[in-house]
Amino acid sequence: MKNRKRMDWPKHGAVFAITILIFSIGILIGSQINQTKMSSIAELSEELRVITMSSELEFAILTENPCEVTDLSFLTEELDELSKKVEFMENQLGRGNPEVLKLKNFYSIVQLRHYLLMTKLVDECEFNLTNIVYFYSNEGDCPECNQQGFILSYLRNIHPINVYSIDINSENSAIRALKTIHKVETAPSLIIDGEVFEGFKTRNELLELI
Amino acid sequence: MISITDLLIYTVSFVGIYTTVFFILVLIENRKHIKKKPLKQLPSVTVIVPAYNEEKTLSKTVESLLELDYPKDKLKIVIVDDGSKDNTLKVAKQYEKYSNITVYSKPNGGKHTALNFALERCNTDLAGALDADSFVDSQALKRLVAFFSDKKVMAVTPSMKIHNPKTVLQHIQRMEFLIGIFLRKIFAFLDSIHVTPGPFTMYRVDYFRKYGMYKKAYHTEDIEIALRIQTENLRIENCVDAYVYTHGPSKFVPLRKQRIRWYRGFLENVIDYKQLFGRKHGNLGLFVLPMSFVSVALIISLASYNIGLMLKNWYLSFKNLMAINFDVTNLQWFRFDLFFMNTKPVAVVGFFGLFMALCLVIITKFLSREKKSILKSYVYFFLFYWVLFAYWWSLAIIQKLANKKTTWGHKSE
Repeated sequence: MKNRKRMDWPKHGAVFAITILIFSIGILIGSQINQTKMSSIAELSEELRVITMSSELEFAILTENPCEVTDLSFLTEELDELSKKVEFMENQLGRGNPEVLKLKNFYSIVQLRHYLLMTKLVDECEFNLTNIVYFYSNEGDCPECNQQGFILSYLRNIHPINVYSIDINSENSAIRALKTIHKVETAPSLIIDGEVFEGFKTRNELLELI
Repeated sequence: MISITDLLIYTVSFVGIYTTVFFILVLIENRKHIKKKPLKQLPSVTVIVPAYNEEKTLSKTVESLLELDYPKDKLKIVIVDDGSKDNTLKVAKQYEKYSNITVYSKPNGGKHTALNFALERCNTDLAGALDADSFVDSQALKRLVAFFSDKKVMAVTPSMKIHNPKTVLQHIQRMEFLIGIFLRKIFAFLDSIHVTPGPFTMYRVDYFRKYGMYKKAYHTEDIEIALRIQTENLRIENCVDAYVYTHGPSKFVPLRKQRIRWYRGFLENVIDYKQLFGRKHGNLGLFVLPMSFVSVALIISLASYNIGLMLKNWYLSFKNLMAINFDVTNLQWFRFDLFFMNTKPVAVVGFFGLFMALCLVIITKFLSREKKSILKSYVYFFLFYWVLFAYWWSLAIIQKLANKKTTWGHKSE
């Protein structure tokens, strides 16, 4: 029998090659799946853009009797779904990923358009709905943001409110404009019915505001 | 930039995949040498049963030895009562009626002294011990001695299994021991066995005469003797179908004590035999021993990082729930969506690593001829073993650094 104690370097070479191969397949599959997910979000974004445009059009047609719109929940569920997906992909691919940034930008625009539309509806028709723009930061400079987001999601389940979550660090010009107009500088900050509230708000404080 | 978690998972997966692929290749290469043909001329054997306060389990151990399929004139059973405080000696004396059983009693001095006491009086070709809380399969000895046909083989290890696991901890140990069967066979193929388990490892008696008796060795004489044999460039074999059954500790504290003793003993003995590292000892010095330390380091890092992360998440969730006065009825709970499955490359690679581990478990089941289902044991093992392993090893290292005295802990080993 051969000396079993001796290191079999060619075998280790082969094992190393097999391991690298398995590794590469894993990385390749992971990247491929993520790519597919990205395109599915992009498709969803496209869909949302069409819905936003048609709802604006619908609003324009109904200008004479805009307050006849009964279903105020249109788009909000889709927006919420998209927000979760974009956030997930941000975690998966990293904040600096250009695809993620593009999607986030687009998502923010869709959100803002929806916000403006809903604000107008609420103003003109006195609907019982509160629109909240929530500025957060996920760059480690907002320890309360996790909790603030959680409280807002919870409140959305028990009160008629729409929450539009906006990354305060976004370079998008529309967001910059919104920040400038309302003088929003830090996260967390909230715009509730046009009024700005800086800093963390508890559940009870928010219940009083909405 | 790559995160610490990702880096750890990549490293652990790489090491895991590498070693599993290597072990599988070694197994395939040596598939014809897994078992040996029985010897025509059987050697004489002494089985020593060191017993300290084992009145309840001693009978089962001795009965199993009496049922061994081995010529009675070639098998001696020596029970050494190591100064027990209970009725161990009385139970042992009942077996003196058998011509091939001898009972000794000596003042308590520890397991290695009981073994040496019997070895000094031993006149057979081979000798080994069987702890009084273990028992053997009737074919174990016949299969095991076949490996002594090679003159360089000084010791042959059996395959240890946990008998009748009941608690979660025993199921975890069962799985661990089954994987141990696979690993020990692979290490035998690489001439790298570095632990010869207490129960039923057989040795050439000449080895003790030439190279000295058992040592206290931080209460892990079975690690010390294995490393000593390796230092002398002699061989240790493994007999995969020589089954020995033992009772694993059922409770947390005794198991922790036992493991700290094992791991600390391993650490101390390897330091004492540090000359085993390096090219001279081939697979053992360049791959098996270094890799065992790398694995320990990786699992401790991964476990502590993940536990830290888990605690942080739990704390955040608790804080969030507190912020809504624990009004959980109005929360939207988790809803399953394939989209939210982690498909980051690191997760896929980690999954591959887990898949390789599963392959290893399947091979283990096949190799160990385990007939009962291992699913329950595997699930417990998969969920908790890495945490326990990291915890026990961390304690062993801390105790070594603090220079704390080693204690025996659980008796079965």
